[in-house]
Amino acid sequence: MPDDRHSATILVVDDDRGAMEALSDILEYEGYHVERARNGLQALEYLQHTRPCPSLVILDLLMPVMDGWEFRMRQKEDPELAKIPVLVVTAISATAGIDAVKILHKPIDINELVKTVAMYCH
Amino acid sequence: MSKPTHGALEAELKLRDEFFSTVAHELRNPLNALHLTLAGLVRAQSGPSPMGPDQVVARINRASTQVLRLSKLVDDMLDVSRISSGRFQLQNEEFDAVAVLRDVIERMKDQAEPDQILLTMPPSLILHGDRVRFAQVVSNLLSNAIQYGERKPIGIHLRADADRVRLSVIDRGIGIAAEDQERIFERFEKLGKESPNVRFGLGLWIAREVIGAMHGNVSVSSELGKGSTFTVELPKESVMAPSA
Repeated sequence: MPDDRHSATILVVDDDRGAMEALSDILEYEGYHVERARNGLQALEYLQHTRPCPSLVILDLLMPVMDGWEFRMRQKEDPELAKIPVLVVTAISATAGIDAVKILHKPIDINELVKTVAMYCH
Repeated sequence: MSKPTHGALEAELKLRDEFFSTVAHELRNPLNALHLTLAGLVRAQSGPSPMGPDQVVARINRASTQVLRLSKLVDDMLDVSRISSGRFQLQNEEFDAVAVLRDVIERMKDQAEPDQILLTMPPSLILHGDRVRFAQVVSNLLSNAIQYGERKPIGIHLRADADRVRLSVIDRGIGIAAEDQERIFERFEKLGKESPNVRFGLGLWIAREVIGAMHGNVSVSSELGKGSTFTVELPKESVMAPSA
């Protein structure tokens, strides 16, 4: 692990186990604490029941049960949850209708990922 | 032989495009995971605090899992080609279905939660048929149960009576809407609005074709939010003498 550990928590939301593990490995190596959700509904329930809120949500779009678009819509209905920045990571090019601090397309550039995460997690 | 009509050709081309789109999307997830795993490993080992040997081995194992996913997708694509063009053949050999099930579960245990898979089966059940294809069907059904099982227990039941062998794979996961339960066995279908973004890939279509070639069938019963049961039924006589 790098010496300069962060205290920030990041919620990773992805239904693909391989992607989830790879993202978590990178973020944990960088010193962040990672929480995991496999779809938008699990993520929403985590956010509604956990304080303090995570510093950042990393969100896939295509997921069963509740996709990334519906998660964002529901997140923004709650003023407290709406403040949490969301970074979208997706394999699809049609990302219309989603608003996020940044959209990264798979395969993700790790340097861009780490740089973007650092901007929102202090 | 009559020439295909313009409309039939257009429909065939549309199907082919949808097939490529489906496969491309299926390939992207393991490719991305593989890329991130390797890039993360390189970043860690190039930095001031490289990981220890155990952590490096764990990362390499994760990369290897993604390579196996990719390899299976390529196998599935080749199977679709073989089945669609009639170049698909079954082997006929004696095998123990229980041993095959245990072998498949052992290979897939890293994908599941610890003790997630619960087995109910006799000590041994000897069949005559295509061992590799039987294992492929089990693997496809179990893979879906793990992916959509919400980490809840998965039951695998194998039993035989006088004239039938019945294998059930039962999960308590997200389930499949009633209107989608037949479509999931189609080659190119995406599911409807009640089950958005549920992707079964090519595995269920292949499973139904393989079991159909053994004169059996694959069926599903499911309820949204409560889980799914996939059942493979093989008449014993057909299992004894498969014809493809």
